[in-house]
Amino acid sequence: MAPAPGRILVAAPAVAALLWLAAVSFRAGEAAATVYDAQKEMGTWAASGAPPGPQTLAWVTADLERARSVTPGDPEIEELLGELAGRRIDRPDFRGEALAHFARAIALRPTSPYTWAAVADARYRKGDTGPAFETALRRAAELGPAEPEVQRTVVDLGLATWDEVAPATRETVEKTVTGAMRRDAAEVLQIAGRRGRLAVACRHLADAPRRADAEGLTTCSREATP
Amino acid sequence: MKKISIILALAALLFADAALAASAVVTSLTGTVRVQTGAAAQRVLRQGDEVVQGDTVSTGAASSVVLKFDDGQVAALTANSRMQVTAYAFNPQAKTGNILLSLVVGGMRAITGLIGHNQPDSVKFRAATATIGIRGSDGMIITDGTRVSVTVTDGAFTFSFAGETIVIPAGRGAFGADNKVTQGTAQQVFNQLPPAFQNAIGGLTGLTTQINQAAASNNKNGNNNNNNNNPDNNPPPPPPPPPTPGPNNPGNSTGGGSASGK
Repeated sequence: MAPAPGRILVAAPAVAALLWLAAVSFRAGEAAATVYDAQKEMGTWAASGAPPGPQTLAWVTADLERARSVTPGDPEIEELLGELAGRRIDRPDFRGEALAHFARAIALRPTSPYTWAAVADARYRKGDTGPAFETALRRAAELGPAEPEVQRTVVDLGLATWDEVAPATRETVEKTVTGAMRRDAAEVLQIAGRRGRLAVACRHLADAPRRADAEGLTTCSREATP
Repeated sequence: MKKISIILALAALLFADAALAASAVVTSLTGTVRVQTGAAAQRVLRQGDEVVQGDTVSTGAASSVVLKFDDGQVAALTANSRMQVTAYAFNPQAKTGNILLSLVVGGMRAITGLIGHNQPDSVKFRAATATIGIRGSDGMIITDGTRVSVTVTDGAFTFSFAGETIVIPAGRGAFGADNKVTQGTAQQVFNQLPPAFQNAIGGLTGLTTQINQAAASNNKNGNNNNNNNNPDNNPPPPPPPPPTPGPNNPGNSTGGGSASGK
């Protein structure tokens, strides 16, 4: 028995919509899987310490760009592309390309302290430590005051540019130093020592819960000795 | 295809004597020092920044920089110098790697680290047309782009210039110019050097404290590679010939460092 024409009129668009939804979901799933693969691949570079070759960089970039064409509003893809662009030292403006990706990621996710920290880092590496760098550093610190990765970046870059930044930025960096000292004083002292800014970290040694840590005390007492 | 590439890459990592990404850290800096990475524009270098393979470090007038590499190698540049980290890889597990530093112009003092201690043949310096190998741990190289002088403080360096290769032991030096090499004690070589070369040596002599601090300090991983494992670097070597004051010789002055003041 043939279905009633009315039923076909209702069912056909519904089936088409379902097919369309299935196709969109499939493509989105495929894009998500690509992003996952890229993250995994990039994780192996960090874990092994072996830098990727140009071909590897090219195919991971191409995969992510395909994924971006499917889900253009995904800030994570822009961040990964930014990280990849920062490694393509054969390109004259690789620093600028990296920054452009991070800036797009910020536009998509303006409340991510990690992305702001990535912007600050990209600007620093580009040699741009002006007001935009300071804004990124402050936003990262304000949005992620207790995020270890953010703290590391803010303390490192903040101490690197300590003499150059505005008082408000220095104040924000110092607050982050205090928070980071509470979390891991040894790590902060190591960063501060490398940046030649032990004095900034040592004045917050008393705030650290494990302030009796022998190494930290020794480091700071050595710093205090003229 | 991509997964096969990943598997192959991981397998290569497992079975190769991995030449891992490695870097140097700026342990001391005065004046204006810049770094160029790849094809990018130069940027200001600050204390604590990392320098990696392919980077070119340039010092301005009255400026200097001391770099400490992951293996404990120390390289110091005096004013108006340009040096490229042409190759640098270090495997901390195997304590092996390779290093090639190319001094384009200016003065550099180099104290070798673990790579130099374990694989002396894997440490090379280039200056103008000269190639310098090491059989020891400490020396100074000066070049203006055509002429090259080498002074050895500890151990011995091999010096290849204009088709001639000589071994320079500690306390002696060589000057390569006009396709010939003259040798002598460090003082004799110093006396015959052009004023700019003498100034560069003076600038490096003024960095002795910073260089010795870098050689003695822990590296970024918290390991003291240099002092614990390289007896050649301890105690610090005797100072090189006396400096001649000049415009490019900041001596012990440390003014102007953007990140060095405490």
